[in-house]
Amino acid sequence: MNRFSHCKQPDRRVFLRGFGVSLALPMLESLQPAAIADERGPTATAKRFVCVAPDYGIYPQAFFPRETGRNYKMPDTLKMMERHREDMTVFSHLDHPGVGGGHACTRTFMNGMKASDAGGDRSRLLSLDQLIARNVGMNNRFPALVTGNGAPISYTEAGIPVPSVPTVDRFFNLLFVDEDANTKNRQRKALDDNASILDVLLEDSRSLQPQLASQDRDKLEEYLTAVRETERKLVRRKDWIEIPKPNAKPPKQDEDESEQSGYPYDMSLFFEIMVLALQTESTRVLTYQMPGGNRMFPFDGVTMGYHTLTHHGKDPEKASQIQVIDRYYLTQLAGFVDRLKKTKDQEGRSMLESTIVLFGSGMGNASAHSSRDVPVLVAGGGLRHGNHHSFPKDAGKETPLSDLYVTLLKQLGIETDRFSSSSGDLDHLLS
Amino acid sequence: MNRHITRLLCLFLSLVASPLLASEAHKSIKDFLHEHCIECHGYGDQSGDRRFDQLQFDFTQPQEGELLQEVLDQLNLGQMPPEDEAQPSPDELQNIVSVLTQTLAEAREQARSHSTGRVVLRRLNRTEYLKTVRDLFRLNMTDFDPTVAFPADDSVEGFDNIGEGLLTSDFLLSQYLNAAEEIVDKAIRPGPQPKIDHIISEGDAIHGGGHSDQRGFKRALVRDQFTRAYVKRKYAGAPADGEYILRIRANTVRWKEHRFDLDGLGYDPSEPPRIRVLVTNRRLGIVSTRTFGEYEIRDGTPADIEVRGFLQKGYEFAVEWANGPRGSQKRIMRKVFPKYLPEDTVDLARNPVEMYMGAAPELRLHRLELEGPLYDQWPLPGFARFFSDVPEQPTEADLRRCLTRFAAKAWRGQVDLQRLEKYIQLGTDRLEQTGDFWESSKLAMRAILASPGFLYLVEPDKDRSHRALNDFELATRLSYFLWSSMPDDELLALAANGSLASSEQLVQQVDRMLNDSKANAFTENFPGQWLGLRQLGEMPPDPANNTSYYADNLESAMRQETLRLFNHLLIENESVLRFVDADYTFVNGALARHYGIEAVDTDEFQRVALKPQDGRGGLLGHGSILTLTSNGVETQPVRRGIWVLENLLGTPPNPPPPDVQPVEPDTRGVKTIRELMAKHRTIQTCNECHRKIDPIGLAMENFDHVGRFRTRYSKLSPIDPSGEMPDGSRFNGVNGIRSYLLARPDQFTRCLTEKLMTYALGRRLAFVDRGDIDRIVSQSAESGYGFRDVIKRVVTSEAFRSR
Repeated sequence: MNRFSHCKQPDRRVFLRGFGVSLALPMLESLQPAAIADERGPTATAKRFVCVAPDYGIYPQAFFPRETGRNYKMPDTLKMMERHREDMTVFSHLDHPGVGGGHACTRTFMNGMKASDAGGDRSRLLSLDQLIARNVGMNNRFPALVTGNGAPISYTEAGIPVPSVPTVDRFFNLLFVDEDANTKNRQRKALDDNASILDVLLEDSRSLQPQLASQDRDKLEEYLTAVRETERKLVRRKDWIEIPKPNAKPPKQDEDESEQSGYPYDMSLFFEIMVLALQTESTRVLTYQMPGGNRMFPFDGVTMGYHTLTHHGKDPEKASQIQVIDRYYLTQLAGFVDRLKKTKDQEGRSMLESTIVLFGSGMGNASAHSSRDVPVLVAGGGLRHGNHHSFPKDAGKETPLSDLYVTLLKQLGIETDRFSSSSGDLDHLLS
Repeated sequence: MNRHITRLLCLFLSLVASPLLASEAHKSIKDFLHEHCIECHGYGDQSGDRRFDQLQFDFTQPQEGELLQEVLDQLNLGQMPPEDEAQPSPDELQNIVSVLTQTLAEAREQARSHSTGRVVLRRLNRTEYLKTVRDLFRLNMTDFDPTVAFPADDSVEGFDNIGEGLLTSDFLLSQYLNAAEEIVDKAIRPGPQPKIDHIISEGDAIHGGGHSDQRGFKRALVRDQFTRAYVKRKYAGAPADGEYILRIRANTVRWKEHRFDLDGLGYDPSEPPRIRVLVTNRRLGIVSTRTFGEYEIRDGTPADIEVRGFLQKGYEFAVEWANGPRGSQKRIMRKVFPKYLPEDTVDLARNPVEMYMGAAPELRLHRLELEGPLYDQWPLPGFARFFSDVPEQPTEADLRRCLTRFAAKAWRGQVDLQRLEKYIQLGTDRLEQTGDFWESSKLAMRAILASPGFLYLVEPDKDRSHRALNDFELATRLSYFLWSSMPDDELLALAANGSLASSEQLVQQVDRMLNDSKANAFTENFPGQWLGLRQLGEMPPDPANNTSYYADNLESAMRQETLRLFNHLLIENESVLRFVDADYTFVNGALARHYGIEAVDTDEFQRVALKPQDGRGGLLGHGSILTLTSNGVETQPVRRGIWVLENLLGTPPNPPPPDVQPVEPDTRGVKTIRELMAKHRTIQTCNECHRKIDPIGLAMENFDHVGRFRTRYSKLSPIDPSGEMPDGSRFNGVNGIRSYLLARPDQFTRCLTEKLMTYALGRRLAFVDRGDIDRIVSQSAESGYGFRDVIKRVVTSEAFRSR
């Protein structure tokens, strides 16, 4: 039985339900799928960006090394990444200043800003991956994709969380399974209908606008923008219907885990498909959200729910159980980096060389659900690696996590000197 | 001295949330800037291109407002003044941050409102959209949710129906287009009534179920062996949306008497055997499956059961054995049977389960029969509403007439013919091209369902003047307040003849609307958000250590208890102070056990009288509130304290300054939570708010993380539920907080009124609403605080009737 086989789609409603996500995902600007000219400056060594983010952070004592510099010793959890030491950098004492603790801090990992602090200006919530996508992803079928089941960490320019593709099957189908001819015909028809509807909506809202009070006019402008944007995407979407999706074999689960299915065992499948997505140039920007919740992990030695364990309150038993889960996460991450190393990109380099992998969480010490000193690790992307950098706050000066993001943006060829709450960059350490 | 005044003002602010006198605020800002900023950001030096010496103190101007916001951000981040300069004291910092925050909030409000119309154009939220579609087309929405892929709506001030929080993205707009197509396909059903199908399956012809038997029934020994039974093997589900009748003939044998001991079979023969009817869509699988009902059958003689229900196209009924012996066939064969018949089970391959037929309890399903679709009325009411008079050969004029009729309802009575023309044109153009009347109607209707007139509650207002709502706008505001849906025909008719706006009529309509079943939108959505009930279940307790919480479905029972109190006060027009303290509550047997109070042991909810020592009267004793303010593992006194300040006292504390380390819990038992929090309060900036939060939260410690009563944390550490508020009031335990609140009846009433008003208006309250709120509170105080009266006063207030 092949769990990825595409079931028949006898009904457009089912199609829409199942693929609402795919239809609505932002699509590309122009049409050459794979072999597009690189429009960015020749300096950009990194072309792709992947973010992997667990909801509740990582137990700090087993993640952050004591020593800084090159020859640091990896604590137990981080040790899962030992074989990638020369291709990665660990950071301590970085975080987003001012976001405050609680569950909402998880969501701030890639934008440094809680929705409630955006002061009505939601564009301040734009997340790193979406900003990158706007610059490097627009020539791919999917400028950016978000997958996994964690708290949303990816936010559009309008400050709206990007819906995630939640399951392995849907993720694979979205990327690699073409709709059948009937479905495509229905898609074409629906897009045509919608195009004529959008014309009317645009005209109507334009004649409505002058009748409104000023603040209402601004609100309607939001609607008008949505209409225009939908219209623009519709054109691109229509073009993409005609381009077949790339072929890929559905990934198989590791043999020793083949008995198990579902979360967390499907994590390796997500990672596998992510590599395929990058390899086939379906997208250049990926975010994988590892879920929180109070699920029970089916691991030896774990007897309590995940959320319960994060509130370990220094209880050594709980603290040791939470590390079992953390080690699984880091093992999976290490496996993903292995795959990226093995895979070649379009130019024949290792995929890791041209892909920045950012691993981390908006939550630091989960026992206090704190947003301070969050775990951060960067691999690949042609950066200068091999070190542990620490930014202690006791000097009275703190280094915002966004400083790192500025450097990542530059490495991707995006000219900028600031992002969110940045105060500078970390070029001197990484480039 | 000045600092002292500011501080007093701040306190006053945070207590009654009243606006600062602008001049006072401006003076403290000016003083602060002069003392700490202007040296580097002034006439002589403009570090970072910022200078504050030219401020006009009109923060409604964007440049000035933004500059001030920057000052606040810098202070909050602790980045200014630079560390080598003199630093403001914590007190001073706390004060100036409050002043700046408040000043900015007011400036924003003013800038936004230009002193009058403050309602921000409101988009329907997801709930409202769904209910509006239901009422517009008279659709049965069971198993039909066209909003399933809509992004969640943001909350502002705790409510998800506030205009400024309801964003429209292109993602959402494309979802609106998809949904509109789905909806019109369901609602527009021309032609004759679909013919009635009658499917009868007997014995083998029944799909699924247990083993076939040549005597004409399906049989099974254990529940797991009896898979779902369907009327047909290959069946695409109901051929059309409509009512269907399912008839079932089934019985059990040997339900009570057989040769096996009960432990092995894991079922309860003291209850009657039951079958379960499901509604499902085979193609969509588990997500589409729900229980329709459970029905008793008899042991011995077959019983005929008939159920009637609505099926969406593609859905069907399925039948399961609800309470038969449990376990896999394998387990029964390997573990249970050998105990009784050891010699027969040596070779499992030669001992198929049929050998044991006749020895164990058994379900027999004889017959399944499906009939439908059936309709009370054809053409469907939601279709006839717009297309009742379409002739055989419809023309453009027919299309025009029907679409105009549709737009009048979809746009809630506010049709601008000129704007409508564009939508009609879309339809008539298509009609000209294809000659297909229905396709053309649907296309235009899809456009109307995605139009601003449908998606937004539009209140045109060119000249920004403060004005009364017209009757249609008022009808709309009222129906979205109480029904989360569009006005019905009665409201629209009253609006059309101009007789809605009188206070007597409005009050009469409130009664009518609250008595309508559609009012459940209000009685779920409002308390769900005011009290945070929607968050119940977000941090569920650990299943391993809280078994009864799950086994007894306590979460749902707790939610019920609170909603029932809410409904009761609303129906009986009892005093809103019963939210604070009541000598009764509503529980079922399981919840009463959980609370340790007396009640009839049944699943039914019942009103029980409470004694003061039960500690359960009013919201503070509700398991729902106590659980949702915990994190599933332990109580969170700070969260509880804030919950009370925000939702009962109406004085939410400022969010913590970002540079403060949160309390790191230590559950090893070295220190109690009280000690940890006391330590936190030694930090001055923390103490400012925590001296109000902590005493309340700690006084609630007698209730654990799922709301059970307790007197000690562990053997050696008893709970001390005493507290003292900054104003010197002392209390002990939850009863103490109740008295504290009851001594301030107007403060609670004001808090509730503000929440109601925010929800009713769909916007943040502004300074100008103060008059209305004050009036409602004082009138309530004079007339016994009746809950329904408060709602009527909200509806007849100036703020509600104008924009």
